[in-house]
Amino acid sequence: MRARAAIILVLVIGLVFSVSLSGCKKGEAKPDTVVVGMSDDINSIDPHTNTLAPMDTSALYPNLYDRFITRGLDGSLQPELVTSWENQSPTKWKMTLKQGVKFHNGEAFNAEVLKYNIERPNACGGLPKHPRMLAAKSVEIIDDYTVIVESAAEDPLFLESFCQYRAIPKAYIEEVGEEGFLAHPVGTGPYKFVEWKKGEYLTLEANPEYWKGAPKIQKLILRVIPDAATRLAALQAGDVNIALNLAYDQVSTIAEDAELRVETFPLSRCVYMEFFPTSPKGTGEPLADVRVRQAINYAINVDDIIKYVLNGMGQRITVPSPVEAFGYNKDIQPYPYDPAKARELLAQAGYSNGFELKIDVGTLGLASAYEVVDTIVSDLAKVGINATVNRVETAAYADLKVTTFGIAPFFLWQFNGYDVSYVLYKQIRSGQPWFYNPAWTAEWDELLDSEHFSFDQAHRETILKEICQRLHDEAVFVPLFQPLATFGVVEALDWVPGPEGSVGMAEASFR
Amino acid sequence: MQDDVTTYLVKRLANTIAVLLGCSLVVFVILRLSGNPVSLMLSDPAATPEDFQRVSQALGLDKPIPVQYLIFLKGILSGNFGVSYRYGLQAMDVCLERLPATVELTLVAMALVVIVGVPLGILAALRRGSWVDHLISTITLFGQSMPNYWVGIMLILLLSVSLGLLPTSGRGGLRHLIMPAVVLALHPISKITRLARSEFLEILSRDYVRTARAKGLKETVVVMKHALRNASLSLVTVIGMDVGYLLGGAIVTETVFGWPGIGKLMVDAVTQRDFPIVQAATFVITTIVVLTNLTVDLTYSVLDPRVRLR
Repeated sequence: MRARAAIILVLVIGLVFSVSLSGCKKGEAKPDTVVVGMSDDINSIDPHTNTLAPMDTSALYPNLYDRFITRGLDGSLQPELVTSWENQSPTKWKMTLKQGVKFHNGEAFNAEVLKYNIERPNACGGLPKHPRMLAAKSVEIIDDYTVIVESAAEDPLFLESFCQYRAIPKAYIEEVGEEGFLAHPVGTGPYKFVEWKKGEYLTLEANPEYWKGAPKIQKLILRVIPDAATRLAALQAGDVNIALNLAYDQVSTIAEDAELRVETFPLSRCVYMEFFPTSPKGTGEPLADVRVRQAINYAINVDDIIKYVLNGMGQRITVPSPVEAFGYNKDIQPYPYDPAKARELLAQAGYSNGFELKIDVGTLGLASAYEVVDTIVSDLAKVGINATVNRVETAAYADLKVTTFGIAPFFLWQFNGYDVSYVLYKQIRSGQPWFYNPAWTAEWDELLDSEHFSFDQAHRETILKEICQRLHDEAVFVPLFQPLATFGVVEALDWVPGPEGSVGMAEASFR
Repeated sequence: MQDDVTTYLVKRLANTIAVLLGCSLVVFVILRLSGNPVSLMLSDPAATPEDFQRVSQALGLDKPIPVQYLIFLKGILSGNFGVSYRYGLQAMDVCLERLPATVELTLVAMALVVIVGVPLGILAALRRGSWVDHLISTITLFGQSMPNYWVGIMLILLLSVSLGLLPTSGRGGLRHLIMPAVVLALHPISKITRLARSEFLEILSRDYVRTARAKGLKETVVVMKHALRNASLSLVTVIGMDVGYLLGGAIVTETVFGWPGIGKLMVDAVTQRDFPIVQAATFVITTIVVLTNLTVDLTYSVLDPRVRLR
């Protein structure tokens, strides 16, 4: 009986070994197919909605759809389906459209299509359009390839909003209906839709008639792998060629692997702390003093946070705006790490014994948000500021921000835009919905209005740089960093991140 | 007898509807008390208070909660559970599309539980005190202590990355099912093994077993026919509860293995405040749990003639 059991055991072990030795590294990827591992599923096939946008629609939209006006890698506006634009009046923009562009179903892109895109009141299913798309109100057709787009308000930053638009077909949707479009979308992009299994994967195939030239990669599979560790394992096992949204500690693992590499891209998002001394939540009074705010800036070791918590995956900023944005003042030096100076300033302001500070933090898409805040709390403790953290779940935090201002919220916008004024105006000009400016005086409003409504870019740049300097001197915020989007890529794939860190495959190929 | 069963089923059906309505009401209210999803949708600097108002109105979220609930109920009567804020598609369609994946994984995991767990438990009981018993006890201890997430990742690293034997994640054929089903089955197997062992130990000392043995019946018959049948009531109860739990709660396994199940769909919908999906998924999962319980109760009357359906 024992002998029989022993023999069976040996046979089983032998079988396992022989199977394992015969198994080679299996992967789904073939040289003409790229598999992308995303951290979350696509939200919506309709590019006009996407109000619950996580970062990962960056894998679908640039492949399926083209924008009217796109961005370059440096954040500047670039022609795409719209080849040139001219500002004719504070609300009117004359645009020339690209000729000879066809949708995947053969329908031509022209002025009628553009008008349809802009004037449709809602996205598919009656869902609201993304707020940025509502900047464009109506379209006047001059001829098949010339239009005049009218903005909803006088807005020099109109194009910042308008560039979010991607083209969807008019005749096709009229023919198959919105449900038909959601079931089988059609765009002008380098890849055509094949199938979508929600929560699993979405398959695209190359569009040989793409107006910029046929892509080399023939097939794209966007797979949903929610867990970061599994996503990395999939990259290492060869199940995916690109892994999106790496965790910061995974970057080192990939860097050590000869067959993989890390690509990064500075996102147009900013992480920073705001101050609201008169918050109804109380205890914000110390923050009304500029010396206290400066002390906080001196007390936090931002460079170390970027180096150790983010594993280098961050770019330091001196104001809450991307470095690449128009109007960013590159001459400003960030506050150096100087706890002694911080203590000195606090003592001058009358807080030599420190004070209590309440910080609200939600994650809102930054992987290590809590770790960053914990590091800040310990830095503040070293100069006597006793900070308590209120961790709020993402959606609840969004609700909080809308309804009640906290004393020191730790914040991260989904998209800051590539113009300093785009977000900042709404935060530091009085009367605006996100108004948080402890250093506010009426002069700020005058300055801000003079640039925000001016169409003179040179004038705007001068003013914006001055505003940046003031924000820095008055320590209105604690600006921290721009997170870098991190991608794990197999060495064999020749690909770099596209504008805004997108995963467009039109130019990619295998070496 | 036929009348009894029919009456019973009708009563259970009425009960099911009451449970469904109750659950949906609780979930409905709690969702709306958790805040306004429009804040999350419009957490973009371009959004204005007018946008907030407009979107709230479009989604029907500006009305008082009782009114919203009545509108919801009216919709259900025509099969409309609302449009998902995320996908723009009918919420129930999205849920039902994810259901087969969950059912597949759960059934395979529970099959493992029954095929592996019950015999192991019986074996441990029959060989009580021996090294076999101790080995099985140790295995179940580990099985219940090791967290799903960790076991899952370890298996992926070993079998997919190092050995290249199995795919890392996703749904597909049998090869895709092995790891997630094993991970999912780990805790229930340990539980069932221990339960089966203790049930059998208890039963095997009973008078009727001694009688059966004294009658000269073969041991196999004693165990499989008499003892198992008596143990099956509590085993079926626990297995039934596990099925209901797994169908809605395999979230960790679904996340680690990228398995497109309804559990993950629901958790994501909660995080993103996609109310229609949460509501539709609640309906689906509640229905399944209730149906499973009903099946278990009906099975009692088959297994044990003394049980009367009431």
